[in-house]
Amino acid sequence: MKPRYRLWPALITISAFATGLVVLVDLQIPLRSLLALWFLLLCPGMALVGLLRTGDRLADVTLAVAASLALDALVAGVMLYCGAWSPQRGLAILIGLSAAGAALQLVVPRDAPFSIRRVP
Amino acid sequence: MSVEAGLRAQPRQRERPYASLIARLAAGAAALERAALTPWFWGLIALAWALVTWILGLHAVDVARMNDLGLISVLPLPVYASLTVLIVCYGLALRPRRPNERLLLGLTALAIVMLYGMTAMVEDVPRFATAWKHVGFIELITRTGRVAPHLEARFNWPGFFILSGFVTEIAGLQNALPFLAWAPVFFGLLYLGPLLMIFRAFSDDRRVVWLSVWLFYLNNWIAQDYFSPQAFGFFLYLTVVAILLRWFKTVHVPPATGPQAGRLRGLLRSLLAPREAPSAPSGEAQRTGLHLIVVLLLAVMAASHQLTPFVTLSALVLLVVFRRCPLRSLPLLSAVLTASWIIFMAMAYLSGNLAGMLREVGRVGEVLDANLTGHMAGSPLHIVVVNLRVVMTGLIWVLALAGAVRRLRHGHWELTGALLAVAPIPLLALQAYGGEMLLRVQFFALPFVALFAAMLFYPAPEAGRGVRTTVALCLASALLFAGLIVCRFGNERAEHMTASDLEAVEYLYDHAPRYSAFVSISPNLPWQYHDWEAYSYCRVAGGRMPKSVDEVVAYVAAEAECGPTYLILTRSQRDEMLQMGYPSESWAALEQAIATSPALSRVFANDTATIWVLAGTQEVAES
Repeated sequence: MKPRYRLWPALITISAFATGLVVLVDLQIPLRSLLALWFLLLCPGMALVGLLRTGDRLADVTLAVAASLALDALVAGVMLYCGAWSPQRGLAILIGLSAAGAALQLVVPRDAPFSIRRVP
Repeated sequence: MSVEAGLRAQPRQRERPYASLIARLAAGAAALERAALTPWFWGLIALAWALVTWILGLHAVDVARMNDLGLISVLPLPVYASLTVLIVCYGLALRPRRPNERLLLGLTALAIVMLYGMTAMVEDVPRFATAWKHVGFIELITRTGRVAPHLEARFNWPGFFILSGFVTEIAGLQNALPFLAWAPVFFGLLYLGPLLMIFRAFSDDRRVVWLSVWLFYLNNWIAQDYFSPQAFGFFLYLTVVAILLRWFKTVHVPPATGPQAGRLRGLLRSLLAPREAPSAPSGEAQRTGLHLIVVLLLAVMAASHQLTPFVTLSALVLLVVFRRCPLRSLPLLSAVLTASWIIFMAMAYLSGNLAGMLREVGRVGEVLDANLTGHMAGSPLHIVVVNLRVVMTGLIWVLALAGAVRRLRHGHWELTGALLAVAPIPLLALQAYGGEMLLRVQFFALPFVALFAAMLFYPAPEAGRGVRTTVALCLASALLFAGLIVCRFGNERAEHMTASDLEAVEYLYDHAPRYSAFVSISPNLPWQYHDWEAYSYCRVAGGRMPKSVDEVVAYVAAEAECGPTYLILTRSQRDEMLQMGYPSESWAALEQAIATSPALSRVFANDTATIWVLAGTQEVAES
């Protein structure tokens, strides 16, 4: 696997770990807001969109942001309507999702099940 | 080494560092000289100057001196100078057949910050009373862990508020107030990705793509990109459309052959046949994944905003009916998701408003009346702003129509773009949406209208390469810039909030016991941002100027049945009333009459706000 294909899985994993550490341990550091926004805005979506291998960086980032916000809203909304509102638990779910997506991106070969072919 | 050789070498060793330094400096100077000959260098210098001038210019703005033309009435010359530099740079950057996209990306981002971030730079407190209310919704969710659909209609579509509450908690913020001021810049940048994907699906000519982007931002005076569910819903809508146009385009329609294919039918088929560039290559797994993302976005959209799912549904139906999208089940899925949310989750709203909503269906004349003539009122300067909004809207549609015709003359029939431009229009037949439906229709149509307007300048790859196009583009941009500042920030005198207004509201929350009633003349003030359910909020006379102090006192006394009742008057309320056309003397007379009324006693005053309590109710509360 080329190093550039490992960039996003590595970034997602590091961001998930750092956000989890800061939020779940409740560290009051100045960069907490920025770190949380970065993770929630991009990482859960990029973990899934990275699996699609679109080959288009603009599309990847756009879809990752939209999917991240949608997943954040979905996880938080389900917790709220189930009467189990807990942002920390929601974050743990999103971290798990992101880590799983990042791991899959590393494990699944780039040309195996997601080969790019033109649809007639 | 001999001594002689060592002596000869010594001065060389001493000289070497200087020689190296001089050589490096010379190389740097040569590189700088080479760079100075490139447009990049001068472009960056100009933009840095524009940014600094913009910041310094805005630093001198005194918002208290605004009149009913809004922000434009107090903007100093350096701000216009910086915007002019930006316009010229953009015009020049679009001149090459293959423009530098990184440069255009930087210029667009800078334009978004400089245009939409203007209010955040000049105002000391976040603007717009509705945005403060949204912070209150979010605070209720984070504090109680539930929504309260009976409190407000918007709470029946709480997706955006739940998301914001979640982000606020994870970010470790006390409330969502820090998001307010820069939300338009944030959403403006967020829209850039899907907009580029959409425009690239229509044209390979990068000049068309970036000019469409430019025209979208220069015409977005509707200002629905504040901290709101509409701003979020619009992003989801753009992304859904971008995915469909990028990966799910119908590329082949069987030709009309055989004896049954008449001339009319042949012509119709020819008009309807997709002629755009084919979809991006994709595999089955990719398409399944993208399909799932679209469903996820539609589901979140259905839970986040009342209107956006209906616009999306309209767009999906048109794309499928006119065979622009092969996902025939998608409109049905979108309809099911939207209807399910309304029936099962928004029942609190539906049960109280269904009859009223059904009454408006099909009354297009009444809806247009509420949306157009309903806004044509106010002070003379405000009428100028309102008229200019109509002109701006008409202008971009005329440019788009001319662009479509010019494109057609070059042999390109852009039916998909036209369908998406008209997709929001059927909503006018549904309801007035509080007199805002026309605005929302324009907002959703704007990306595709901007696309056609861009095609007026560049109808084909070989067209628009002369100086005349660049000059016309710069002049049109300057016109749109000026129009945007007037139209977008035309209500700023009323919509901006001051620290003194906020200080008065904070006094209320600090001193009024829970379950007090807060009464105002208009709801235009920075309140309702916490403990939403603990107080009741009312306005005298439904937002018009009360005829006398007796009317005010009677209203306040009626609210006192529930507990202590406070009347608050602020500068923001006064400016809204003046913008609506009431004379300043009538407001001053009302304030004077309230001040001398024995029924009300003053408990707080600063330079822009005063609070009175209904005599007797405060003591009752304290006891």
